[in-house]
Amino acid sequence: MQNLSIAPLLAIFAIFFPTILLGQACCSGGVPVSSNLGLPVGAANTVQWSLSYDYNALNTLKTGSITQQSQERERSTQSVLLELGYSLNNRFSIDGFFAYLQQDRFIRQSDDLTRTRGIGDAVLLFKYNVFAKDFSSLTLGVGPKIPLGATDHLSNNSPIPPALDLQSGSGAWDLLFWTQWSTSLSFRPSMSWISTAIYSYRGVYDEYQCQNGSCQTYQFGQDVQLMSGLSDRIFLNNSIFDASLLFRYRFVTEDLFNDAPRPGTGGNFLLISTGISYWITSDFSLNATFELPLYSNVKDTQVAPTFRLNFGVFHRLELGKNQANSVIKI
Amino acid sequence: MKKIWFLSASFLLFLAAACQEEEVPNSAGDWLIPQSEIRDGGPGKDGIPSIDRPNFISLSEVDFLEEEDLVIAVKYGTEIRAYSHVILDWHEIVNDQKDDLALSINYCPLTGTAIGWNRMINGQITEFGVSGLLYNTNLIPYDRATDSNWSQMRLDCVEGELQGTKAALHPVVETSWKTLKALYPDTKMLSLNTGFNRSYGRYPYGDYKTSSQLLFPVSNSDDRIFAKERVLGIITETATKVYQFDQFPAGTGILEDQVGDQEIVIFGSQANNFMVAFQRETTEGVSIDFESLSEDSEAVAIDQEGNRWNIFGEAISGPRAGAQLKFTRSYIGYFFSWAAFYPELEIY
Repeated sequence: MQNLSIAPLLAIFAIFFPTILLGQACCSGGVPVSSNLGLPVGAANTVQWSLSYDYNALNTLKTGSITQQSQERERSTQSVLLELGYSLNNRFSIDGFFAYLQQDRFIRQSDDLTRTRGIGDAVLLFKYNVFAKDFSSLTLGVGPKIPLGATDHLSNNSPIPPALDLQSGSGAWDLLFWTQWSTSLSFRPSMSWISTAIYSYRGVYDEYQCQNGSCQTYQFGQDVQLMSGLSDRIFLNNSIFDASLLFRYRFVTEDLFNDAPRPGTGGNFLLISTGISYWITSDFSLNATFELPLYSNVKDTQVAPTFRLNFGVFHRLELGKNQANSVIKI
Repeated sequence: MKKIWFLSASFLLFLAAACQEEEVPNSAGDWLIPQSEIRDGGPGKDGIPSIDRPNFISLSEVDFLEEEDLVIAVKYGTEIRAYSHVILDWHEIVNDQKDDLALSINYCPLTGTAIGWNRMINGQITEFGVSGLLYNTNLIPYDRATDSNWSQMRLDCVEGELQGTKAALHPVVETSWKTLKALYPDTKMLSLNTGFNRSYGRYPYGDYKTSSQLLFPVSNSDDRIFAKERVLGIITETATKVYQFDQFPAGTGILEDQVGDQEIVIFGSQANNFMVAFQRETTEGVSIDFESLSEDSEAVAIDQEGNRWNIFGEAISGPRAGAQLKFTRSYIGYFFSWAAFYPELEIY
């Protein structure tokens, strides 16, 4: 019975966390991947997948915490994100995360659009559910980010490869540490408090800007993200919706170019995310998330997040179970 | 179940449509510099906006500069205009004009090079903008009339319709705000009213000016002098040579030398933070011998005939008053950038 009670909670994770944790895209396409991890550890022999479209606008030019009233430049990352998960048993699961990215940089004055598209870096995340009882759950995960994405895409408008932050890949293997804790609230069991932490140890790309037989090294900034907030299940006209409100804090150190800090990289970001999901069946949902920055304090001058929109679908498939009978039970 | 698969399939179709590649031809052209060594600096073409409608204020109105802040002084006829690094760090190019003289003051914060280019090209006045590209970590301006790309430190057009065209230089003097206002109190200073909202006064590149690190690779390295030391370089047809500030006294010093086949003279001062180079003859072909001069005026040198000369290479008094020394192709920049562009560089 306890397991049944936890199931909706885990489903809530499945809905919101795959889409709610998108990072700032100014540090290559690897960031959306690392920021969207976290399908739940489901019942044994369960396959889960989520597919979403993500639009991340970075049009806010910042110097420190000061916003420059600059309308000259637009920057965006659009991503198609696919996450596949398989639960070996009630404890262990493995997630694979894949992305296809389009990155745009548009300058008004010269009407200049730089656009790259391509497969992004991928992540494998091995997760262990430490405990799931008394309406609480703790899951730990670790895994590599695999540099599948290219770092030498050309844009449509120039024979010169755009900067690394406009490439779909980072060129480096990273190691991600992920943990998620949740508990449902005693005064309203349908409401859960969810907290997630991700630490991304960024590896070194050692074939950067090679010329005359020698290459430079580039290492994106070490990245810590802390998310915390509430989600709740709402019943409307015999339909089930899940709503969430979360805060996300992200701290990124400066990138390193040949081991030296790179000006105009790194910073602190606090964002607020709201999400809504509509459950068509107990195993399939439509999801949407909207995120706004509350505070940004960047190193030197950079573009910072302006808003992010994500929508997609989630599906869980318990192998061996008759899916035709899968309906929501209120 | 059918509904689920229908929805999933629809979503997949939507995503597939979103991922359609657009076939847009590249605007690749031949470059006079190795294309594989050109870098995208990050902000994009005009992502660092040039100032195309500059406003000026009198020096008494300037309240945003420290005494040692660097400024670029340019003479337009009888009027001197100045452009501070504080603003140039954020815009890199100012397209300015007074009467018939249209100049582009282009400045690369990564190589510390400020150069004045005449904007009249093939009988047409153009504007220059920041292409967002770098070669040897140095600015590649583009001209808006033909969209050709230029190399700032090579002083020529390296790609596009004007490829091979040499930049027509107009002399500039880089010095401190303190020196400029002492020598030329009537100077007009580029105003913070640029039309853009930027954190002027806040250097956007961290500790770049003092660190030995570069942000992009260069084609040649040279450790004879600290990478970021500001040196004056002179380019002739057959040689390139750089000069250091510590070769000049605190007061004004005169250094006469030969670079390639050019006899040159440099007026320089450590304390007043300037070095300017000219050929040792006037535009009328008269050869001049100089001595330094320290007096409370704009004159920094005196010659054998008693003419007094200023940092723009003009005789401001004496029998040849109004004479002008021939210009050199010279400018101040970080040493590493001179070594990158001119591997056979001589150091005085």
